[in-house]
Amino acid sequence: MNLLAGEIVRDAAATQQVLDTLPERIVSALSKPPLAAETVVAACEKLLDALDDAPLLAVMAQLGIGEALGRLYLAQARLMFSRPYLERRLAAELGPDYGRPRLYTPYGNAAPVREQWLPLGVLLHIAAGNADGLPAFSVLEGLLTGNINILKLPVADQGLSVGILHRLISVEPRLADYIYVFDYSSKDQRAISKLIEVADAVVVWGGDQAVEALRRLVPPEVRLIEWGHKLSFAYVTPAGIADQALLEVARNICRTDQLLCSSCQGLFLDSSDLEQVHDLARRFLPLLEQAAGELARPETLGLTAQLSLELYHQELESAYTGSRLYRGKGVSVTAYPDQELALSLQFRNCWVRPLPRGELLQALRPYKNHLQTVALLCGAGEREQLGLLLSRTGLTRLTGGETMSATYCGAAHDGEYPLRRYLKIFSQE
Amino acid sequence: MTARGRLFYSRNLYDLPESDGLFTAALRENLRWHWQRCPEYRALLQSRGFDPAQFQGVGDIAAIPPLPTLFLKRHPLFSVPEQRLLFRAVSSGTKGRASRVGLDWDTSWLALGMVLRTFAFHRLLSPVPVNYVILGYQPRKENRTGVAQTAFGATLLAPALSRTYALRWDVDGYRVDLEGVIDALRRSAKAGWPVRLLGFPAYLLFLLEALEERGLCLKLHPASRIMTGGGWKQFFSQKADRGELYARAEAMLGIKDGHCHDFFGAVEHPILYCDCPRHHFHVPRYSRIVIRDPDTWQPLPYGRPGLLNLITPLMRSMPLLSVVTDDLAILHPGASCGCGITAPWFEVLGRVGLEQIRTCAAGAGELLREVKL
Repeated sequence: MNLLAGEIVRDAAATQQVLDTLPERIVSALSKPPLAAETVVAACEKLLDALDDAPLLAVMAQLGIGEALGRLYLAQARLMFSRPYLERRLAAELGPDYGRPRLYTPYGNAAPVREQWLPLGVLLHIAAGNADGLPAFSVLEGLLTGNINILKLPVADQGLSVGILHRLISVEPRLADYIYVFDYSSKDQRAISKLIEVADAVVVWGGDQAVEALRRLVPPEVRLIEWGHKLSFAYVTPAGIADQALLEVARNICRTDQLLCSSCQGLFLDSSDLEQVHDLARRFLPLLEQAAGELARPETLGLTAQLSLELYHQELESAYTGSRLYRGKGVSVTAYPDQELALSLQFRNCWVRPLPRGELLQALRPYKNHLQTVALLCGAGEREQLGLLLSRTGLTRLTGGETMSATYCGAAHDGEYPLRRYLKIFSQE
Repeated sequence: MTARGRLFYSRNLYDLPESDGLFTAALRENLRWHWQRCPEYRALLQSRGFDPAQFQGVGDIAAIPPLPTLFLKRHPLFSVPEQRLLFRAVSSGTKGRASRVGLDWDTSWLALGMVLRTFAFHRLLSPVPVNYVILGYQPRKENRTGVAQTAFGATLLAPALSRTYALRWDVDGYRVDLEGVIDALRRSAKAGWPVRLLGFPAYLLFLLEALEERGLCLKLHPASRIMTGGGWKQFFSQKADRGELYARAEAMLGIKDGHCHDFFGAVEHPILYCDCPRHHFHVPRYSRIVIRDPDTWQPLPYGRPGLLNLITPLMRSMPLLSVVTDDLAILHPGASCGCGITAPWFEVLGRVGLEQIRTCAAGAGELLREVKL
């Protein structure tokens, strides 16, 4: 399903015709008065007013997202696309006077200069095989910064993104010139190359495979903006072991089912004593069970079977790895002797591993560009020193268990302000 | 003769439960063989608290701890020295990793008997020469996938006038040669020789679509056959789709439903399953199937979906007595089919898991795993 000039297009010939005339369409849109952030903010406000939770939850349930996570997504979406949030976010990322040019005389200059944030122009968003609804979110960020947005849909999108963007255009028809959604397969390199040709920057969300493929495809004159996949974990010191703090980590695991970049995959313990690692695993298990009891997840045969197979596999493998699986009701904790930062089995199955602070930098170096959030559970006296240490790895956020997957207005994403990446500073002397 | 030998060298094919006694004896023999020769396997069984002495009758089949195919991909286990392996095959590894499987002389010999018996039962052996059209890879030394080897093996069932491959090896790689395939079909139709089309069902669908696009309706010799295997689930969700595919094959090629055969197999469980005239896979005397409850791992009764556990004493080279695949399946009583075969039949529903979920954390994890390897 394509969304072109405000219309949903299914016909291949009509799509091809739009693709062929895309350069002219873009020049024509660029010659119109620029898109103001206010227009987009107002459109989001209207869209949210008309939003109904039930059908969206149903769509997410089909994608395997439980109601708890679905409601979390929706609550986040409602907050993040509200007028006050968007306005404050623009101000936080771009400065309070973001909409107006800044006039000043630089040090050592005789004459004043005028500087202004302006859109890059055309963004091509490639959300290869990524989280649901994210493609539409990426386009919204592009709109807020006044860019023309071309979206290449991921395979598994199932109409969610097109649905959101189509509605957005129906509440604000002026946006039609700024949104193009193409449903080309990633394998259709000719079409993708044509889309890249008209773009000022390519925004890619996805795994390293997608990023790598685009690095090869994108010519040097087009900027590549990467939002790669990340992993997050909790770092626990013996002084930080407390049921309440651990329960908060457990709640993150259950609420997100460990599906997000910011989801806790496991716990590193500041110790090299394996007995302590097993102790922590045994202590964490009932807390994880408790959190799972609070947040029910829809059971499907396919998922139950997959997890069951993987847990069984892990039990067999423990003969080779020296790991030990602790099973709980709908949850599990595996204690490993190694220091590997691994993806968990997800869906409430986490790991515990030893990682003494002295070896932390060395052990996390190999993952430098794949790290995101750490929940730090430690004594008050250790916090500053450990925070400094963790900040020297590739991690970009330090939180407690409760807020690992939450965000705040104006927060950086993977260590950067997203809106700034979609803008340029235009100076006039 | 060993019980295994007697199990595989019999005129009977679908004689369940009469063959239960022999099957259990063969399985016990095979279990003892691997217990003695594969210390890793023994350690795995012991870690699950299993003792071969427990294994008495047919009711104990499900007690043998099954090995997941995923586990075998990561840890290939052998009970004979690797230099004694005759055939080697790797699974096509559609989902990441491939399994390596090797057969020794003894296993190959039994497998050959099984294959011939199965093809003979389903009347697929023929002295009439045919033109083969393989909707798959042209075999090469470097391509050891079970799929390519099986497809070549299947061209020995009737004398070959010619073999045409849809994926032909060129100097720099495999190339799709749809035109070559269509030419071969037209020539066969003209010359009046039967054709045997082999390959993935999805490729057959592509071929039929190509013929439809060109408006080409061929009337192949009435003895022509279609033989497909694997890969239904990637492209078809319903059984009804299969009926539709066969209907289109009849319309475009003139091959009737009764001449369409589907096969099931896995390199980790090299038993040949051929569908009956009602297109169901019945369990032959060479294997038993247990459907396991994903929660409790206990065997499920007929009609309930669960994990597919395949059991056979065929393999002497590797301890593959009992493997559990990542497929969900249902077992049905033989009588419910109606084709006359009384052995139970099974239906593969698809892979476990939620395919469409590709989260950011999983993406990063996949890469990290690769970095580590």
